[in-house]
Amino acid sequence: MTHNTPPTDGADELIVRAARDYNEPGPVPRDEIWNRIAEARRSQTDAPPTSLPERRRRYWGVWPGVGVAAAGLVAVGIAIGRGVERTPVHDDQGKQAPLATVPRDTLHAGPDLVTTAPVQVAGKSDSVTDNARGDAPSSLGDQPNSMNVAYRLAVVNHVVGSEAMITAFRASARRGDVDPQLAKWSRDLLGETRLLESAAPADDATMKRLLEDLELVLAQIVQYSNRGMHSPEDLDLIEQSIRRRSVISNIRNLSAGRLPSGT
Amino acid sequence: MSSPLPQVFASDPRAVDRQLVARCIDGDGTAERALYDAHVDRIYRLMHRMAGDGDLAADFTQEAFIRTFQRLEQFRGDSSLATWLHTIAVSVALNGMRKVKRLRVRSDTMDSIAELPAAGNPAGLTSDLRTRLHAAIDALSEKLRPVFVMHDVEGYTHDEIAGTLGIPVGTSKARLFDARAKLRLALAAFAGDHIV
Repeated sequence: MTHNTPPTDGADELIVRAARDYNEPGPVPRDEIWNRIAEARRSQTDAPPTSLPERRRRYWGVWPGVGVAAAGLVAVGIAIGRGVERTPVHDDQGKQAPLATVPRDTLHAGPDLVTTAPVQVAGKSDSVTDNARGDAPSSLGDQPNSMNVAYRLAVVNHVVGSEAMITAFRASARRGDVDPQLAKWSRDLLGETRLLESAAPADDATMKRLLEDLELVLAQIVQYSNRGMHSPEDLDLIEQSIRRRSVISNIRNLSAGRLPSGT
Repeated sequence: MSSPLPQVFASDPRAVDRQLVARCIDGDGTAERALYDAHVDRIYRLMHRMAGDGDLAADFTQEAFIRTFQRLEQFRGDSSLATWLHTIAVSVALNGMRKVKRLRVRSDTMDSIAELPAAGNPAGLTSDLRTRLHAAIDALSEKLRPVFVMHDVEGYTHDEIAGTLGIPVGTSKARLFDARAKLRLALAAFAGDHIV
């Protein structure tokens, strides 16, 4: 480690000297970070697609008050899955667009979206499948179209779960406590959001934006949950982020197929 | 148990990198931990310098290593593993900081820092100067700040910075020059003869 542009004069020297303790790090929490990495990687590789709904089921045992909302959200997920499966889609000339089959094993969306029959997804014009046309470069551009569809379905499933968590968090935080299970759930969702974000197609700015906004809100919730003392101001900041970025309405638009892709 | 690295590789860091990566790809947990241990200190230090917060630094470090492990098969060995890892880490930090900035509305611009009234007490100069300098570094642009932090704070060479940021060495030097000039300007009103 050498400085290959040494300070040229006294002023530079002063700057370099005064900058030495800029954001000075303390001891490196090696083991703590390693454990977190190991846990995150384990959950990526080991966790079956059912992990989110399973977590949700466990969670509803603790939070029965929001169980009804969860049921509604699951129904939305099923409706999307069935809608995607059954709705005939017409192209610009009014002809029915060909359907592409998405292999079941490419769906990372969990059982909420996986129906008993092989899932068929419209190839064109469907908001869920806009991204699968393959006519624009993307980070998934080399993958089969079905992967893009599977990715989008996974995102839909993920954001629906996130909405459930945010709803539960709001209810619990207003009562002045945050259950440890809720804190863990929000951390898991944050990790999954980041993974989905890093795999987002480059040309789908809307999706990326939604995931970024969701990440921001989840990060705030994680920070809030980690703190021992909960201040109303912090809670208000979270509420503001949710409202300003229209996170909930964007999630609902996405899950209802109203959020355009590729914009 | 995995075997230690053969002696023949000891003098060839690239070969060590390739060997380590190959073992990680094969699922060798010891190799993964060895890779982590070899780089985590430097990565964490840089993340902390860029984030200014231990929790964020840990988050960025964690994310950088997760992405590194995910993408190891893409490592071709054109650059060193350290450079490749740093590229991922700096990208994670810059993206993360963009989001954090959306959270913390930071109003300290270079202008406002320069407009702060000068301290009347010469005895307090060092501490005030440091505080102002740190605020001025915070306010550097996304292009200048990583170069300044890496070079003048963490002691990376221009070669390392250029490799990490994917820019020519000359650009790294030019950015460092610009960063120092901006910091001088930001501190000029305060430090007067000490700076200009």
